Amino acid sequence: MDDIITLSYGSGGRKTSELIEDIILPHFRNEELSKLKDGAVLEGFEKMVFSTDSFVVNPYFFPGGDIGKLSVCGTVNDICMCGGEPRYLSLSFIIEEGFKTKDFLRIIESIEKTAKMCNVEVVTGDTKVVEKGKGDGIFINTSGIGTLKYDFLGEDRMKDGDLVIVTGNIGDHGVAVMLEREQLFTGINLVSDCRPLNVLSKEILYFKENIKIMRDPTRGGLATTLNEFVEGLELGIELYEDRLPVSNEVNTACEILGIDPLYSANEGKITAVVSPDIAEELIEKLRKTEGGEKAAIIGKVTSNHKGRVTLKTEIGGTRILTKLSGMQLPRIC
Amino acid sequence: MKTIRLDINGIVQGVGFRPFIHKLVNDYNIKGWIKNTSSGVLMEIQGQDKSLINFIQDLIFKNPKLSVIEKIKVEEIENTTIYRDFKIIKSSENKEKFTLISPDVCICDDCLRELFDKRNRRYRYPFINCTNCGPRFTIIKDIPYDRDKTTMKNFKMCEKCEGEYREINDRRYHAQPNCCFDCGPEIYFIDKEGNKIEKDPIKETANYIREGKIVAIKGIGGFHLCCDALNGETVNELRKRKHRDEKPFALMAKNIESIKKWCFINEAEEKMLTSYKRPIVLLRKKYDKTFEYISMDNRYLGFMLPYTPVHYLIFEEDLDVLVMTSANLSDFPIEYKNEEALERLSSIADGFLMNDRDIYVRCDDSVVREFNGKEYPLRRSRGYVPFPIKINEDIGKILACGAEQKSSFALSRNNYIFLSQHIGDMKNIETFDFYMHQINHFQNLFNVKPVKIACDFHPDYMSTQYAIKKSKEDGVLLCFVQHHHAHMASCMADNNLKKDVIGVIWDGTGYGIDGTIWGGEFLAGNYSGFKRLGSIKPIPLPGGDRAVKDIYRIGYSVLYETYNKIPEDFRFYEDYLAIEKMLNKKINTPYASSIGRLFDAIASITNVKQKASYEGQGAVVLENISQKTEEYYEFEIKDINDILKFDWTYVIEQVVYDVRKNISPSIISAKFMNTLIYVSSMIVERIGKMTGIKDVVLSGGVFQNMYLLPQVKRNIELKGFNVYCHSRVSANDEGIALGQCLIAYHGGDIKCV
Ligand SMILES: [Fe+3]
Ligand SMILES: [Mg+2]
Ligand SMILES: [Zn+2]
Ligand SMILES: [Zn+2]
Repeated sequence: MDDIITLSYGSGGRKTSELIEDIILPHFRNEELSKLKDGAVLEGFEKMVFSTDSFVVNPYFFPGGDIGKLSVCGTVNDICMCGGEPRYLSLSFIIEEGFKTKDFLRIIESIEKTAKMCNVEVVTGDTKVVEKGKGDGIFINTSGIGTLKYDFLGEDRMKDGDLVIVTGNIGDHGVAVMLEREQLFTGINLVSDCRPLNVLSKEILYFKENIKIMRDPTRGGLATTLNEFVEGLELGIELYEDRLPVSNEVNTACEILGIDPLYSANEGKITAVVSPDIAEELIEKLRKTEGGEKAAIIGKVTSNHKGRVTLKTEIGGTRILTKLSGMQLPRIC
Repeated sequence: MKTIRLDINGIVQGVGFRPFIHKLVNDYNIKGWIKNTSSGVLMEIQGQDKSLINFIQDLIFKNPKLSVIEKIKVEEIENTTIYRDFKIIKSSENKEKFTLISPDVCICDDCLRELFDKRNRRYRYPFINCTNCGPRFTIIKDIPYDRDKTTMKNFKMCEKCEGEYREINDRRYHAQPNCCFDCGPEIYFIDKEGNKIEKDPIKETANYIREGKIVAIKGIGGFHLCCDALNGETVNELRKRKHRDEKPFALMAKNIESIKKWCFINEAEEKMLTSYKRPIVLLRKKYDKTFEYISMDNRYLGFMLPYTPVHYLIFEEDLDVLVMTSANLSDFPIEYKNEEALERLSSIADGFLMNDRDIYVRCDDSVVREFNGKEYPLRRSRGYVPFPIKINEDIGKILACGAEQKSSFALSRNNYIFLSQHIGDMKNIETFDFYMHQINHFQNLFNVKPVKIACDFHPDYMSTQYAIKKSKEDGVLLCFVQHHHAHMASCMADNNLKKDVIGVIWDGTGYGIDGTIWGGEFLAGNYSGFKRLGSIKPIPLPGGDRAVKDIYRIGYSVLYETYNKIPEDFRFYEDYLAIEKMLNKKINTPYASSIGRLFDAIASITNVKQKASYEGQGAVVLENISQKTEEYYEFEIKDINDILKFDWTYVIEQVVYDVRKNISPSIISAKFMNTLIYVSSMIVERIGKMTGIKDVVLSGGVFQNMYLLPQVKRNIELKGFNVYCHSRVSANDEGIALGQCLIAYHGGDIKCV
């Protein structure tokens, strides 16, 4: 650990893991939190999923969504990814002095609308305001509880030969927000993919035990999430460049920005490892579902290159997709 | 009469050392025995005083050409036994098993004579070899070096070969790869469809080449892709199939006379070309237009001479000069296994000249050039590896993991540092697997379990991640070493320097201790530490690595830094507005204080290169077009927080002025490089005054530029400094592992964990 916490500790990469594992976890050691899943499965009258997330986004209104919608989707999606059906949400705001009431209302409305779509109730909450200059407009935290419907998901169930799917174009949210924030180009209309995944995840889990693990590849992008799937396992994941669904807009923007869509955030996509027996059928089903039109099989689980995610490129090499430590740093000498 | 025990360390196995000893004992009437040990040979000899002295002298001064004696321990012992004859005793393995291993060696003159001697039983045998020649490193799986520990294990020697192998007076006595038509491997030709062709494989290969086809030829350390170099159409077809747009190809010529038709060769260069290591030597073209489709960006051609029997047999078919480039798909390491080659090269090669002798480890051709009458290595690989770099101190056992794109590693054992062969760019898993396999192989071959692991400070290098994991698994101390400090230490070790030096370290990219990218550094210090006393004004890289490929972005970037906008007459591409915004808002725009990037900027502003198809191309092109001139640009050096920084904005203004006046890029390029020469000597002079240091080392990839290197050296020397350059390892990132070893040993690493 460095002496001070720098920006890269929030990047979702290795530094973030370091922060969580070395600083936070030791103080809250319990079985559930240690698993570092998107949500916790708790024993009560029935099995439940419990998850929390904080939302910091600039700008807080962007094409395809806003921080309110994002903060509901984020927690709801995490519960869905654990096989849960989301039920209740908590909602906390940290607002910077001077924030416009009109904007706040717009955010609240967006939250309400999204919560209805997801069939969840906000049951508890909190609001704090901080001095001007001590916050960046608005921060939101949500926690959620859902009932566990499908308790079989886990990376330990992945097998050599399983297939990797994604429910649509990758990298949209990260690039859309960046373009909106920086106003870089005219002529590229990019919309965030921010959406609740309760319907899509149900479509996937219809295939029961044929689904091994699933997650929404948010911060750090698809490459980072898939790395988390295989980290420390005797299995690896191999992706095929020519099968990755990427929109032309994202491609063009990424070319110019010099960033890789595989590391750009998504807020309305699921990636899953599934049995090859049902993969085709699942893709067909997803393509008929709203938000899943571009679903595709993008790779497979292999026993080669243990613990690593690789990308078969179109010219034939096999690029290693690592978890980055922070920003993408130049490495060409 | 006396009895003496001789313990000899060095390269003394499999290089005709014991037959040589045998002859010598006869000459001096000496009795006793000799045996191979894992660290060399051990002998007990008995004879007259005088004979013994002569014997030892001959041993030291007349040893066979491939043997290298590193250490002799002489010990007199009691005459307890009286020996009647001289015997060779079976090898024994001692606990501290360690022996130097010979690199692969080109076919020797004796074998070459036999190859073309109709009466010889090995007439035209493609695998002829003896103790003075043939494959070594690439076929050895383990030590001690015996046939059953090589890939020749599969071939049982026939009676005749076995006879030679056992006959101490024979050139093939204990030649482990010894074989012949009756018992050894064979060559065969496979066509595009994968069918074995029942014709003379050499003649078939030659026919294919003459017809303008591309043949994959299995060699010593891997496959080559080969075609007629005189056939521009075929060469361009090879470029297309290999996805290699502009990077030069290596050539192999029938003989030295043939090379002289196209290139100038001085004495030193001829010596390198004909040495048993047979590297590719970069030679000055006689006419700039010569072989433009082979090497379009520079005035040099990379030539090598034939080094295997197969090469000689092919050239015997009335061929003169061939393209011989490593056979691989763009970013893969060189192909070396038959099945994989057939599969992966099917889209490139029209035919395959195969054989059934397995290659155990890959080894690409080495590349050198001449500088000051000495070798200036660019890629140290076949013919050199695994011969160690010897240094003048014992640093124990350290593994240094190298850098990233030109990755290599080093394993030290006391005074020896074993540098790996060329490995390649580790962004691909195939290359990374090769890297990890080689580290294990070297650890095993040289029996080294490292007590420290050194790696680059860049957090996302695969080599760094490997080092972190390995240090955890093995419970070994990990040392992070700053990239340019490692370059500096590498050049120090190359020259056996230990005192404080000033390092002028110019390259493309390396991670600095302040979290920015460095590459135009003036460091002062030694193995155990350094101070950054000089550098250049940082250059924004809009899009990170993307800018290193689309170098016009770097042109934009320096213009923007100079004028706060991109002037209209330099907006080469549509995306200038977006790039301008990225620069303005610093979006995905890291900063690099790199000379390599400054070259990119000038290449773009002068419009000689806007997109690089291989790394460092901007600099290569500028070196190529430059015309000698004494002119240079005025420049400023600013003291910013005690670092002397070359502010290039004023230079950019003058370059822009010249471009607008239609001054030729050839002149601008030379003026720019002259400026760098003055910048280097002026900053060094000022650092010299501050620190009192008198020795200067030059390292980093920029010092592969043959316009800069000699003049930077001379100008700094004129200021009264001793200037040292590389002669044993490469100035680019391949040489970094050597420096990492020494820094880790001396505790000069960055303590950050
Ligand atoms: Fe470097
Ligand atoms: Mg979450
Ligand atoms: Zn020979
Ligand atoms: Zn034989």
